[in-house]
Amino acid sequence: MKKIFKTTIVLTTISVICGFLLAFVSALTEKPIAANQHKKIGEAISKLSPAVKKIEEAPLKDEQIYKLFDQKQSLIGYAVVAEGPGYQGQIKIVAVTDSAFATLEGIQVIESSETPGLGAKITEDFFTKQFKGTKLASPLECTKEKTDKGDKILAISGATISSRAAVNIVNNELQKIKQEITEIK
Amino acid sequence: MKKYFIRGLWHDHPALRQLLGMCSILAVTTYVINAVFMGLGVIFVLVGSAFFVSLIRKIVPDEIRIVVFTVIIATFVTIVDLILKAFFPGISDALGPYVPLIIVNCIILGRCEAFACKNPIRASLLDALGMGLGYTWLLIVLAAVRELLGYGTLFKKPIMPSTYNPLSIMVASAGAFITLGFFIAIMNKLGKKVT
Amino acid sequence: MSSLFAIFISAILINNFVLYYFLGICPFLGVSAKAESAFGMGVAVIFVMTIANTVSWLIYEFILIKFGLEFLQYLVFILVIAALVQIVEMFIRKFSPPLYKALGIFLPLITTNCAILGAALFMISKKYNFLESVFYGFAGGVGFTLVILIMAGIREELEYSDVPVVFKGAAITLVITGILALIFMGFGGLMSA
Repeated sequence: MKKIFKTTIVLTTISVICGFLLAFVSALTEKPIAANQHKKIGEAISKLSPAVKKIEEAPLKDEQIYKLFDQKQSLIGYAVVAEGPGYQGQIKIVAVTDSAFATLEGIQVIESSETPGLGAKITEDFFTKQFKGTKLASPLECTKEKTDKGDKILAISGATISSRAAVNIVNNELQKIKQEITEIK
Repeated sequence: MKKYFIRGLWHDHPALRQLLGMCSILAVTTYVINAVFMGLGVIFVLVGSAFFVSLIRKIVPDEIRIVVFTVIIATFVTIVDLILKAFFPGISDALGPYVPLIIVNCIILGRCEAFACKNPIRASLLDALGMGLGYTWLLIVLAAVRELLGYGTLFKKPIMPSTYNPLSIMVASAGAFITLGFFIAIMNKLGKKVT
Repeated sequence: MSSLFAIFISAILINNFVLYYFLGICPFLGVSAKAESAFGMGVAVIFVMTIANTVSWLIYEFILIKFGLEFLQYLVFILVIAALVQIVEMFIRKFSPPLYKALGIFLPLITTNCAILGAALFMISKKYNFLESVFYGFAGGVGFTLVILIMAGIREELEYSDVPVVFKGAAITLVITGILALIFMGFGGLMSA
């Protein structure tokens, strides 16, 4: 009986100490972690649209959107954060559009865990720059062969699934927001 | 005292000799920089848990020692994870789930169980440091080979001539297994063979 | 994509825990020498992985998130797994001695099998719902069993072949695993259809 007592006390004490220690570290790191998320989005936006001087969060009904302003405080575009499943884990993409929400200024992949050397190439410029200038009127298409017709994104060879996932994630989010955005215009 | 430190580096190398902690070795060695941070993380957890396990070795009843060790290790790993997320977000993204998986890295539980819970603090610290450094050098060397052949870069700086066509297979999972297999074979050749 | 069948196929063939995530390598190297013990280990992993995912999901969703304690995630998951392994061990010892005889020695080893903790962490990061998580755990275990059985088959044959001395044991096993990983990469095409 004494043994059970001792066992319980030791285990409880250690767990409580560890729990408090973690709560302490977690409280210390909470702010920097949140700030990092913001910074990552901010950096992606300014890379896609260097003229942006001010970013303002604008909640829609279900989605979150960022309004982008230039030096003269005039609205020059919107940014959205799209997220969805890739071949591997979640992919997180920042997409920037013009102020009419009609043309894509470009995308940046800010989080992904696709296969190194293959799917991970969706983060590289040669893939993402294809999105620049595409129209939002209809969903983008992902193809395996080079075409000049329409807004088509050429898939990375050997990483069709990751490429297609990236295109779908952008499509889904933008189409969803297109329906809601009329509210804040 | 010195022998506790030295043996983890080569003679009793945790991975090449004892075949422990293979998972993270294979997973994080696509870039040298990831390997460096993974190594530092493992050293931190290893040394920290060895210290605490050695400290409380006399008050912990035998039946629950494994659970207690695991709680201590998990605490240290969570600290590493939060610190990386807060101050080195790029590294944290790259290492992904393999940071929390340090918890089940058998090297750490193995050293707690085999050494730290039976030895005084100083010896335990030296032992942990030696094993950790031994593990880290392997991570770095393996990552250097894979990054150089698979991307043609080192520390993400291009090294190979521009005509070099990177062998993507080296950074894919197959390359990890094959490279580690060759490393163990080389180690067998250099020293006396493990079973 | 996120239908249960897709999770099943992907966890077994495409994102296999051993070949893709490099998880569970220690038991994989240790127990894959004989097909019989490989099978025992495989069944034990399927069993524990499914239950561990079920329990961890419930705790994460209804306790950790509710009280904002996500930072305790790793600590709680590993304790859940350790406790589960103990409970399962006691349970089978009591109710099914033959099963205990077959699985008994593998169960304690499972606590440090990183694939179990890996499955629990991935189901959270992939934002699976309850049913998907349970399925994911089960499929992950099946994938582990499949690969460890293939490996055991190869290693039993390997006994009779002339492997260079320095490659004997773990080295040649890893090289073969690499080739297996290459073969399994071919299954990636299944998902694009």
